[in-house]
Amino acid sequence: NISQTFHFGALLASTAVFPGLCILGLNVSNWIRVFSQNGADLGPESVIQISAVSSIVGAWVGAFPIPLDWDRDWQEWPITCMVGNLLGYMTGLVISAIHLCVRYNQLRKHKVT
Amino acid sequence: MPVKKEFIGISTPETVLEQSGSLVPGVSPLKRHYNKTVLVLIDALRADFLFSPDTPMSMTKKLVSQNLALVAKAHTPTVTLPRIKALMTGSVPGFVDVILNFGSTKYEGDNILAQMSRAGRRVVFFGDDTWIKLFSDHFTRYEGTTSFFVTDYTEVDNNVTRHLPLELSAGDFDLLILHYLGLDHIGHLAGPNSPLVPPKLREMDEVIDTVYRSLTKLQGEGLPNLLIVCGDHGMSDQGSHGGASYSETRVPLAFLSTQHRSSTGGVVESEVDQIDLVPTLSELLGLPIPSNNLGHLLMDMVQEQGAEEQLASLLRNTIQLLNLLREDQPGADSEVRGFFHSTCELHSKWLSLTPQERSSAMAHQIQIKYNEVITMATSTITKKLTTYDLPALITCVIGLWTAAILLLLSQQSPVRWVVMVHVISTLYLVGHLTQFQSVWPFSGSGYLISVASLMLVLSTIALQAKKTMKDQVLEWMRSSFYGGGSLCGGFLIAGTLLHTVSLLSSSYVEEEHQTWYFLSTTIHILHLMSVILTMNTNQHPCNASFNSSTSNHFLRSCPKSDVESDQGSHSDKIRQEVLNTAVLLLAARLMRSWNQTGNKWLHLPDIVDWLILADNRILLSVLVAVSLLLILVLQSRRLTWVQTILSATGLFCVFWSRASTGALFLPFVPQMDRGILPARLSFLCVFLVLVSQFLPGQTSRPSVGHMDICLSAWTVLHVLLMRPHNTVLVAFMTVQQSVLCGCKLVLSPSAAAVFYVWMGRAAFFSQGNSNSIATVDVGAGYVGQEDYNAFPVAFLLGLATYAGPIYWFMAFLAKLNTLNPSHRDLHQVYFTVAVTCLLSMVVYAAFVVTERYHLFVWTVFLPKLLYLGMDLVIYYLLSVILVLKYYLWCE
Repeated sequence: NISQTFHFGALLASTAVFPGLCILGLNVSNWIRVFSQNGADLGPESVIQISAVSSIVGAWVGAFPIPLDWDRDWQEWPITCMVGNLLGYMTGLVISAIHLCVRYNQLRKHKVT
Repeated sequence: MPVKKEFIGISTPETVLEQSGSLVPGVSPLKRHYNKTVLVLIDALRADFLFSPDTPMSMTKKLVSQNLALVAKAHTPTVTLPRIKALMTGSVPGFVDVILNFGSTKYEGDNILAQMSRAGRRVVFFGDDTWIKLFSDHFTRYEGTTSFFVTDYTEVDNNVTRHLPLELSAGDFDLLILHYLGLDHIGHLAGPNSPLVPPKLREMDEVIDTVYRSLTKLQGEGLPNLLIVCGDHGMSDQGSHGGASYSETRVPLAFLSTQHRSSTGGVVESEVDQIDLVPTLSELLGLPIPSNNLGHLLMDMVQEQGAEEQLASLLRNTIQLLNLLREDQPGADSEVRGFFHSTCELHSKWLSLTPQERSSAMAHQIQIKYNEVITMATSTITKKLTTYDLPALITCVIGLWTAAILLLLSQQSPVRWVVMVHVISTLYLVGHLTQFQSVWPFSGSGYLISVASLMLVLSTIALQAKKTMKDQVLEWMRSSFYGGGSLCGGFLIAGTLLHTVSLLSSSYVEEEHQTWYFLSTTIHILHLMSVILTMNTNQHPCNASFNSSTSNHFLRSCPKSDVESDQGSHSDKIRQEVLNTAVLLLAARLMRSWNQTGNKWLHLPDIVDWLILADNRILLSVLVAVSLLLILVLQSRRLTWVQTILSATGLFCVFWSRASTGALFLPFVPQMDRGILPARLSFLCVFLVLVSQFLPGQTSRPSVGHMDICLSAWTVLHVLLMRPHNTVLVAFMTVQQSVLCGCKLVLSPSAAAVFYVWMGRAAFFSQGNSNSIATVDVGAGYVGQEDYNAFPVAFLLGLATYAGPIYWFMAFLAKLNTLNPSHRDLHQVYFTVAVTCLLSMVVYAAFVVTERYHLFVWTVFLPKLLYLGMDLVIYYLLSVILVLKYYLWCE
């Protein structure tokens, strides 16, 4: 059971924390600014904020099928959570891409006028 | 709860003869095959206790190999009272009997014992006094022992065995019933794998052997004697019973005759029903089959008697079942009867042949046909065996919903007269339900009155409520949604809704502990995030993002001093909060693996399994001692000297009492008795601590309120009621509670109420409880009691089962003190607690009524309904404390 939890933790870290480390570095105030004060700059920072939150939420939701009694192989811990994690990460990327588009369009309109 | 239709009055040999004679003329009459019968009923005798290869019951096993034994399946609920009724009447009692198990009344219907006494035969009984309450009229001699005192497992059986020498030498009986309770008590106390079980099984084995030898000696020239060995239900791997798992429902059923069988004996492969004993025994003893019987005649047992006798017995069984079918569902038996009549004709034809012409193939053919008729009849009956009183069910559900909506409205305008009408109609409904013999027809006057009053209430609500309800709900949500607590507040609401929805699935009901562990862990993390968020928002005083008009006692006031000097303390505070949350999560993680519960993962090993091994007794004692010390240290911060000493004495007495029963190791204390004296001393200490806060001489510390003292008193009681290995859990809870006490919660009082309720629910499950009746720890009700008295036992049992939620609610009340709530906040808190409990109850009740024919309704949904009801009662009483506290002591 320990190795499974370790692998799940590794996956979650790589989707939620690792991109943040690349963009924000080890500066704690940066992290606080992006994640708890909602002060992410448009661009890489907003992408990692949205995708990190979505991947964690996805992993959280992924725990729901585990107690059901359908007796499937994939209901073991932590398969559904890892799947949820990855799906959440993908949805986060998609959402952040749309968010970027929308915001850039708005900025461009403001620049023009 | 469903209501059954039963025959009133008992069948007589004359009617049986008449009915069978009219269908198949010349059929052989009732014939007695055995002279004396002894029924040895061993409570909680699981099938593998007798049939496993290395069973301690060696002599019985040898006897079984020369005779006949079967594995019988008992119906749910696998609790003693319904099983005794099933063994004597052949009927399938329902779920209500679990509650009625605490007080049984005389059974008026047809049963084997009534038939015996009607035929003038002597029935002698020794054993569980439930039989006496049910059947005392039919016994010639009897003596009972109380079955509820589960800590004794030697005296109960000795009280039965001491009658044996006299009875067996005199032989003055036709049926001797012996009901042994010791094994059941051992199961409840220590489980099926404990070292107490093999000696008990050997004791039972000796009893069986003694009886068999005496029966052989008593057999004279006439009919042989019969010894039946069976169990009423099995036991689960935890030692309790009540559910429908394999080990709880499979019992042995052995027929040991003093006349050896001509055919090969041993254990029959296929499984039979426990109620099949009833028609078989009736036929073997030459008695009419009880009219409410649903069992099939066991062919293996009547094989010895020749084809004519066999077919006659089958005929009588079939007639009885068809009569029952006709009584239960008047039109449904026509189809079966056609087939039955053709079989009867075949039977008559067979009888009309001379003995030389009768072929065994034809007899076999007739046998198969009769069995088919029997199967058709029983399946038709059991399909609609229990009729649900649907009008009453629907009225109840509407009543529940109305009560909930009235509560929602009570905030604004107290609609007093509407409440009165509702209360009166509910009382009327309850009056009807307590005599649940009759099913209410849809057009009955009672139903109409009740529905009319409910409709009146509902229409008044609808007229008044549309605007006010929306306003109220919005205001309530706004109040729990402000500042940094919005994340937590929102999640608390979402979590409650998620949990309510999850109750609609049977897997989530069985594994409800996972839901609560999940939600409580998430809320801890979210709370940490909210705290960090709030602290960071505080760093920028220009961000006036929250209204300070609403009460903001809970947010730290904006630091007026320099920002730089705050940086250092700021990161310190964050570190402190992170540390707090880490401790909470660590304690929660340990509590989660303490006891495995639920259904799917129940068999996995948990920490308790390892702790209660006999080798680890010293380790367990040390661990318990350390936890008790920890509890004392953490609590003494809030108590005065006197109270600390009292608590210390109380905790020590608990340890002493557990050491007396042998569960823990304390030097200089012999393992002698049940530890009643130290337990009572402990009760006294609890009471004294509780009372000491009112004495005028006590100067308690200024920040300590009454509730803290009550909480400390309750903790000692809690430790007393828990099994020794669960006292470490109490230590964990105390650690969590002191951490929460110290840190500031960024939650409104009502959100904090829900937060603490969630902790209570997680604690409920970590103690080992689940949504199945089998996990109720019956032994906890007997702490400090000499004998069985219904009220104290039931009271202590309720306290022990719900100890976790009660602890956390009291902790909440203690915390509430420090939050200095206003009057309106208190209203909100009460309202929130009520809504949290009622919401799940109301939705679940409606759901269960609609799903009453679901596969899992008996095993999963109904026990949960009982637990929810009890939960509602407990929280109601706790809220009464809340109301009393704030309206009497503070005003």
